[in-house]
Amino acid sequence: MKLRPLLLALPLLASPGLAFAEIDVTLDHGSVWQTKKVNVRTEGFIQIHNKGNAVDVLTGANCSIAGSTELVGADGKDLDSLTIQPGQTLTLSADGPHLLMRHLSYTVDYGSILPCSFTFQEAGDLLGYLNATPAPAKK
Amino acid sequence: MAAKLYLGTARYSSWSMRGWLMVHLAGLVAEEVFVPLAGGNSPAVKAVSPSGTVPYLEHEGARVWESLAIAEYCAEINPALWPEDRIARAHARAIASEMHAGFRNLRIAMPMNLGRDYAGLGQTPESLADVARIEAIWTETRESFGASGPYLFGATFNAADAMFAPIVARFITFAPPLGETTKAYCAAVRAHPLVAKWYDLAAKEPVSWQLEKYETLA
Repeated sequence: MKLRPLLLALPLLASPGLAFAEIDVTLDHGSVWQTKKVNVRTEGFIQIHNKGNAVDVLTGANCSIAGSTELVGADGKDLDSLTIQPGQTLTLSADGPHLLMRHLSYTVDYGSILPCSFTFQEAGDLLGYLNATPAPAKK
Repeated sequence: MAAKLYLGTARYSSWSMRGWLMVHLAGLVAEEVFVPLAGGNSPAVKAVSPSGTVPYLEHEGARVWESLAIAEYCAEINPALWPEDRIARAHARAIASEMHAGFRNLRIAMPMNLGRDYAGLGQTPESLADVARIEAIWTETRESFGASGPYLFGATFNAADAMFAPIVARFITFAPPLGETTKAYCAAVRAHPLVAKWYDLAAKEPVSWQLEKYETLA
């Protein structure tokens, strides 16, 4: 889903003519584990595409349902940021970097769609949506 | 800042469409819960909503049901949901209220279905009388207040447009005879980004949510 394509014109000093850095970051519909209780944690996943020709960096996310939303690695440790090269896709997944949402104000129910904002150094704040999906059984 | 908006099947639930549009027009950020409708009284809806109906909004301690009440609540947050001018605002509230309370024959004869083409169906004397009244409302409103743009009150898609958006959807699906002014207004509403987004949501719903009684009219 193309939420907010941006064209940011930046003259490059090294170039004899005018060149442009095209900032074009888009987000697919993602997913989030359903929950049965409030004030618990859940995890969110999404694919982010950098279709521009400049590097961008995901520096944070905020899902209004959660008291805090953090970028974490597969090991659960906090990540400061994630870099997306031009033409690349960043996948936030259960076995890689993803969103950790703590202290949920509401349950994430079957049929839910969570709006979350994603903050990028160049593209700014983009809105993404996470569709609820059943959580895997605990091992 | 947490909020939760309970909605019915996007494909069918015209009231949910109105509530969703109001919430988005106001800029509220809410977890949206689409509860599949079962046709008639739905236990799943009764379980989440005080009135047993959708839409139902919970926002920062406020609990709001009924589309018009949601519209007014959203307008407290973003007053631009209603026209700024007092006379225009009064007219907008009047036609929104008429929509909320009326046009039962049209709603029965032409139930909202965003995924079908039922052109020519549902045309009864009673439903066509409702169509005529709606066309009169739209024409009068556009002539009086809508010169600056394609919507009822001009350039801004507001709460009155949101109230009538599911009527536009019905007109697209059932294609009753309409005047050119009405057709132009329908095209403008259908092209609005939020309306388009709602159609997208409906298109992505599971096929298992579809109800035979709404899918087999033709």
